[in-house]
Formats: sequence, C-alpha cells, structure tokens
Amino acid sequence: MNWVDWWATYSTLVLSVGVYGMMALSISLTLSCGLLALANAAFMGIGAYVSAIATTTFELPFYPALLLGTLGSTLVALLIGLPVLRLSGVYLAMATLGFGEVVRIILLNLDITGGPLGLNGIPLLTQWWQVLLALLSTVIVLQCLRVSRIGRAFEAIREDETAARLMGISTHPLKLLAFVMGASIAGLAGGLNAHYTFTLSPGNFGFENAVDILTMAVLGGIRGLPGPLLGGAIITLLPEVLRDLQEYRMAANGLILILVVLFLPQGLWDSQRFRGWFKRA
Amino acid sequence: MPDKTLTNPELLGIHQLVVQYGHVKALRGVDLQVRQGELVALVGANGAGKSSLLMALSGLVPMQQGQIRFGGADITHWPTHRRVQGGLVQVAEGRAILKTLSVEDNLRLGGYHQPSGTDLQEIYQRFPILKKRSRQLAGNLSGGEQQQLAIGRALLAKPRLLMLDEPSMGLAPRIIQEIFAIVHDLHQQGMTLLLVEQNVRQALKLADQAYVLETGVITLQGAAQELMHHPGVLAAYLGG
Repeated sequence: MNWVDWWATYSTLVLSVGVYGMMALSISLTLSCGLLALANAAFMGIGAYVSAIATTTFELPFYPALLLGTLGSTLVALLIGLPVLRLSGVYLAMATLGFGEVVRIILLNLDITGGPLGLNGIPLLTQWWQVLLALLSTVIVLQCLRVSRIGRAFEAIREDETAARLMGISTHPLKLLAFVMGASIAGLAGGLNAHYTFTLSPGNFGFENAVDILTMAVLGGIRGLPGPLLGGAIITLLPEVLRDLQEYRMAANGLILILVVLFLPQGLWDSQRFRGWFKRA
Repeated sequence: MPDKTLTNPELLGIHQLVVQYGHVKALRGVDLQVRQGELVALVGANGAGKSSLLMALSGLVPMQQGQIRFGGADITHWPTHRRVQGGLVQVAEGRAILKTLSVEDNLRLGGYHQPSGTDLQEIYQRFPILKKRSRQLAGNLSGGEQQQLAIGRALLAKPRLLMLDEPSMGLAPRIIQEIFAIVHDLHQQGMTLLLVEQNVRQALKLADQAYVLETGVITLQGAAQELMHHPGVLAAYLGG
C-alpha cells in the first residue's frame, strides 16, 4: 500500500489521535487541581457545532470559524463554571455530566444544528499540520502553566484545599481558570474534529464520549503531560488494533483498562516510577 | 518575668465570637486579645473549641456572631486568602503538608502571594534540615521535619501574627522540645504568636498571656506565669 492510499484510509484515525490527545490534556487540567469535571465532551461538541455552523451556514473561512468555536465553549464554561465550581467531588461530576446532557438535548432539538440528523457536508478543511500545531501549542501552554506558581497552586488545591487557602491562595478563581482553559482546549479540538469527519451528530458528544475522555487521562496518568497524550492515543487506536477480535473488541478494550488501573494506579506514564527504575539500574 | 508587652498596641482583637455547627455551639461568645510582640497561649482540653477558634480566625468556618479586628481593620467578613495576605497566617493542626510536592515547592507555595518572589535562604538558614531535604517529597519527612516545614512555609507568607495549632501533636518528647525552642526563638525575635496547645505546662512556660478555653467559653485568662499557679489550672491540666 503506498503512502497516498494509507493516508486516505487512516487520516481520520491519525487526526483523531491528535484531537483526543488535546481532549485528554483538557480534562487533565481540571483533574490536576482536583476537580472531577466531566463536561469536556460537551465543550468539544459546542466547539464542533459552532465552528461547523460557521463554515457551512455562514460560509466563514476556517480560522475565524475555529476561533468562534473556541470562544463559544470558553464563554459557556465561564457562565456555568461560576456556579458549578462551588461543588466538589461526585457532586461536581454529576452537575457537569448533567450539563453535558443539556448540551446534547439542545443540539438534538435546535434547527440550526440539524436536529437529530446532525450536520452533514461539513467541508474537509483540517490539515494534519494544523492538528499538530494545535496539539503542540496546547502542550507548550500547559507546560508553562505547570512550572509557574499557578501550576503549583493547582497542585496545592488538589492535595489539600484547606492548606491551599491557608497559604493565601484564592482557590475559586484558580479552579475557574482551570475549568475555562480546559473548555477552550476542548472547543478548539472540537472545531478541528468537525472539519475532518464530514458529519456531526449530537450523540458524538454525549456521556460515552465524556467517560472515554476521562479514561484517556486516567489511563495515561495525570502527573505529567505525556500521560494524557499516551492515553488519548491508546484509547483512540485500541479499537483499530483489536479489529481482528471483532465482536469481542469492546470487551478486550475494557479488560485492558481494568488491568492498567489495577496494576498501574498512577497511569501508564508515571515519572516517579521511571525514576525508580533508573535508581535500581 | 513581668510582661513587657502589656502596653503594646493591640494586633488581634476578638469580640463575642460565636461559631455553631448545626445545633452545636463550638464557641459561645469568646473574647480574646493579642498585642504586638506578644506570645499568647490558648489552652484547653480536646473539643474545647480551640481549633474552631483558629479556623474562624482564618475564615475557614463561618461565624454566627462577633467581630474580629486585625491591625486596626475589621476583618470579620474577609475571605481566607485576604486575611493571609494581610499577615494573619496559620500553621494548621496536623501540619497540612502537601505530601506529593517537594519540600521546596511547599516552601514556595508559602510565599505564593508575595509579589517580590520568595527568598528561601532565610528559611534554609533557620531550618538547615529543610535545605538538605529540599528536593525530597514532603511526605517522606519525619514528623518533626514536617512541622519545621509547616512553620517555615508559614514564615514565608510574612506573618504579622503567626497562629500555631498544636505544633507538638504526635511528636516524640525530644522533638517537641525542638519545636518549642523554635517557637521561643520566633518570640524572642519579635514575632507575635498565638499558640494553641494541649501541652499546657510547656505552653504556659513560653507565653506572656494565656487563655483557658472550656466547652466554647473562656474560663480563665491572665499572665501565663500566674495561670501556671492558679489552683483551677493546676487541678485540671497540670496534674495537681
């Protein structure tokens, strides 16, 4: 098989590895400050729909459309983040999942989103290098954040929120920052996603996708940036790799996840474990 | 030793503080004062409300009634981070070390709100063991080292009043002596301190003024030296 054929077959998969890498990074950002927020799939959906409507219905160029999608999810995150981030733990998880359902139902019922049929004929505008660029920019921004005092404050909030407050950290604005930044990344990823899949339907951004994204981050490990990227790639590629198993594919998928979580609770990419290997050697 | 700080201006003033959890009143109208440069001990048995008082002072639990003045300002309704930025800093019970972060990262977080950045050298001079362990995870330190880290981290927040909640808790007797020596040094260097302790004898020995808290009310107050010989304190806390 030559290169052109290979790309024609697998380009969607390759681009998805990048896009879901961004999604896993976006949820790892909120996880890194101790927030179990599961709205990332919904923010991805908002970004996807807004930018797709911009390029189809309003015939805007690609970049302004991407920007609109990103801004759209950022704005919504800001509005729901203010009240929702007063919650924590499972209550936050439930509230954000509920928000995801609301988004799905709205997408299902509006005319401009094509209702249950979704949007079709979205122009295929996403180039591989645009996905790579978006992914790299995300990594760079998040790495700068991690080593800054804000990154340390995130860790303090995750570890012990009372202690963080006693150090003079104003926790609410920082949580909102993590939540909104995560939504921006998800919105951008959604916009890129919409313009290589040709169609969008509300079901793409529901509960199942939300859990998949969480799984990517947890599987890869959230102690660093390589973890979510690795987890995103594995969860995206695993169904393809296991294609020969046919109907047992999803079961094998689940089994692998159970084993990883059982034996590698910090995720696959755990820099402390790697350091342990080198010390022993 | 007569208290030389009695004429100093007030730094912290608590007036009729009431804290209630559901139907239970943890604090039932507490008045307390800390003057500039003073070491004030707050002693009492388990469950007397000592920690509730410090939590309320840091704004971590809501208060139903009362007023808190700090450095001349009414801080009753200030959020926690603003109180810390104003210099009302607490070393919480159980030390509240961030175990998965390095010692140095813990210290840097102490100076989180210092615009000029954090100078760790002073802390490393005061606590050489922290310098030696700066790259280790804070969770791997011994109890005494963690307490030093907690105090060092609080000092980096540039406190005007340092509140210590049971710094001796869970430590071996020899280590407790080290921690009280640190508290003593800080006091000698002019730091204003509010020390909450169950270790009543040690606390009274160090303090200028002392308050005894019982089931949410101040039952005794006065010069620490006098309280040490008060029959009620002797009977209840110092074993006759």
